[in-house]
Amino acid sequence: MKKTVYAILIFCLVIGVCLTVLDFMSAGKDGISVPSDLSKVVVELNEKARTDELLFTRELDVPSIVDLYIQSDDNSVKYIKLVSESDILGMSGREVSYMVRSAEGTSYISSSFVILPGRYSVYLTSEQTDGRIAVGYRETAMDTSEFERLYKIHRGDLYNPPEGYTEIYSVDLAGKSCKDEVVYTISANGTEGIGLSVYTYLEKGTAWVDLIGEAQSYMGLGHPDFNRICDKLEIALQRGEYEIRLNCEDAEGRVYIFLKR
Amino acid sequence: MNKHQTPSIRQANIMFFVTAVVTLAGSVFFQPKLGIGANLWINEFVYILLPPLAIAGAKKWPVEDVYRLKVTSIKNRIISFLSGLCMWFFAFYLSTVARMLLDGKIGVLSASSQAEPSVYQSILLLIGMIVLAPICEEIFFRGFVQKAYEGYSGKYGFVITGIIFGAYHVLNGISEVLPATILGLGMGYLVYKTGSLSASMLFHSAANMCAVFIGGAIDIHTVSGIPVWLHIVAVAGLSISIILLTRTEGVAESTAIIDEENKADERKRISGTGVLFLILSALYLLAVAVLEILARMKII
Repeated sequence: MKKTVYAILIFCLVIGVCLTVLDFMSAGKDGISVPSDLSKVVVELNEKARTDELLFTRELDVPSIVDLYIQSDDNSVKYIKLVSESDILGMSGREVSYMVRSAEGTSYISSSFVILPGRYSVYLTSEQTDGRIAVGYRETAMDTSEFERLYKIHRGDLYNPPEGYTEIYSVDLAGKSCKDEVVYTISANGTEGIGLSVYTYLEKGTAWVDLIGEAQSYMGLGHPDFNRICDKLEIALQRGEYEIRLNCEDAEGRVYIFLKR
Repeated sequence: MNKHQTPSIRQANIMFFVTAVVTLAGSVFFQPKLGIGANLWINEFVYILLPPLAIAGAKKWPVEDVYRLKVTSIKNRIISFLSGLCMWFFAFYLSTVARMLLDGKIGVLSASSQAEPSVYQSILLLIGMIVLAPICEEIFFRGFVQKAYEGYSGKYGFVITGIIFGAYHVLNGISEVLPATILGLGMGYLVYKTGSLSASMLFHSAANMCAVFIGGAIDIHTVSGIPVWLHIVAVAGLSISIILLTRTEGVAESTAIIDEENKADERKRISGTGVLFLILSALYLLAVAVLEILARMKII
């Protein structure tokens, strides 16, 4: 048996070394791999330090979904900033910034925005260091009726749920303050796919909505500045109880929550 | 076999302490650089397998006899494999309950932001868990440590080793200690009974196979969410596994004779250094557990 064990161990050792080398080679080659259907800008970070250096500017003729995809093989702190001249649906401002460290291989940062017609630009802030950062982007013209629905929500007409969704909670915040107030409970008897839409319109103060499971599930569904429209979020819930909780502080505005089961 | 041609408790305890320390330190250093799969291979080959083989080489021990690298009967091999499969369900149940209790009563560990392993890392992890870990860990724990403790007490050597094996798994999380102890007791009993490491290797491989293929598919999240079937499967798994273990063909008599021979000078075998390193190991592993609790409480 000793010979058999040693033979297996030597075989494993050879296989292990080969797999590790292959893993290194593939990591080196595919460290940054922006999907082929996205346009991309790759920046060598060792050339110079950068402060809000323009990477690219794009002009949108129609309301479009803009997908951003960011990867870097360097662990230093870098900032990618998107600035739009027109409204970004669901956001109070027209600027969004990401802090980027190392994100390569299967790791990446991605985001999608609905941006109204106009110009938008992407900027980079980084120190001079070895490595690269890649920003991928894709623009897809948005379906007119779907855009109109979301634009109404963006302008404050929140009762515009997607098809198949029903209202489970709405509130006029009117100076309300609350912390982790349970506004709705979802009981999943087994693994269940649900859809959630959470729309927030604020004139002042802050308000946001979270989905919290009993043990370890947590998901922010809305942010007062960056994510006022959480539309058709599809989640696979495991068996158990989930609470939708509202937080608000000196808020003036409204919150609507719609559910599809 | 000459009594000097067996590991002492002092050697086992020193080696266990060193292995536990370097496994954690090595993982902290190598895992981010080489990936989870390659790190597992380093753990198994370098920290777990190398020490018992090196000491056997240095002392010129006959490895087949000392570490019991012997083949057992086909019946025992089948029983060992099936027993490992069944016992895993009970271990998984204990692990799930422990994790839920820790999550609910103390707090949830922050999710790791590590990227998913690559295909090559996944293959390394798969082979590492199903082939490498059963061989390397069995040579270290059942071959080396259990052999040393059997010199102290043949009957209870496998129990002590099972507890040591479980304690070592605190490096994988507090919730893994009790399940690993249960599995360790099963594997230790097999070696004690059959006198063959092949039995415990098959048991270990079967349990890890379940962990890879079944454990990955079962995802239980909430406190109220332990399904009824898991309670039933866990009890059934434990029962079947125990029944199977009692059916193994034994060579325990020979172990018992050696045990009686050794009892005469057992006090000499537990040296002060041996006790010191056992205490150091316990304190070290306790510190690892405390760190996990502090992390769960978001203190660190």
